[in-house]
Amino acid sequence: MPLLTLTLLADEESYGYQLIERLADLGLEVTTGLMYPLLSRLERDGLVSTRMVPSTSGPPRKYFALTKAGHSTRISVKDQWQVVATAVHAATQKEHAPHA
Amino acid sequence: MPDRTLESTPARRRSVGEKLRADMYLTRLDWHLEAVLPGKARRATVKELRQSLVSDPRDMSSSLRDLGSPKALAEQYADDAHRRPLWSIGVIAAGAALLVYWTVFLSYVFGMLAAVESLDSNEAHATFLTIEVTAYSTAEAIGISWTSDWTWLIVPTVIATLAFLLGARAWRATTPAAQAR
Repeated sequence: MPLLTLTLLADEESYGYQLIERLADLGLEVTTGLMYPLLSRLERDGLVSTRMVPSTSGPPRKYFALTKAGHSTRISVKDQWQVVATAVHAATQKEHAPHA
Repeated sequence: MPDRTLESTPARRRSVGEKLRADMYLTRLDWHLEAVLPGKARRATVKELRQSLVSDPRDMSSSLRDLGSPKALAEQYADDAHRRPLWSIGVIAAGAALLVYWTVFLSYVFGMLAAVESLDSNEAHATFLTIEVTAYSTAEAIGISWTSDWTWLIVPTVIATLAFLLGARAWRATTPAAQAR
């Protein structure tokens, strides 16, 4: 989840509910109960910056954008994810391969 | 950076009932957040969630269901395993304990008064948790009384203090954050 969130924010700044909608567009159903605490942690860790933007249809919305530290973290987490994904792919391929 | 203010999902107009439900949810969340976040961060989190609920385009039931139970949501905000005392819960527990104590005490003395009246006796004396209680019924007056010195405060004070400490999980105050990690 953090990698996905950081990747979406690297692409475009968003507010919390908008991120959930963007994830839904990717086929992932994520609850606000998961997203809001995650954004709070990312902000606390300095990986995202925030700004309040007035909304025409309600209270101001808090937009999240990636910081420099967030960009570096995203790259290193993405590298780790590639290693894990490659290992999982290799293991599952082996599992499905016919036994000699 | 793009400003998506105008193209963002429009918020719903909330009814009074929905606002009340949101308030109740956030109050319960605030109690649970006390265990995981310091005061300033807690207030900021609740304020932020309140704004998110107001601008959420779904109906309040769906919005609250999506957030999950207040306890589970508060746990998601925890940084580590360290848990702080729940002073607000402690105050509520102390209040509830005092309410139970006074209900039992008044039931007891009014029961005595009813007995005095039904037995045609002038007065009756009894001791309720170290407090001397008198019920009297004469041609001129009817009433109840109990020890007038400060000792009658001891039992309710002890009960309220115990309930406060247990309800607040006061022992958590003695556990340093670093040790709990």
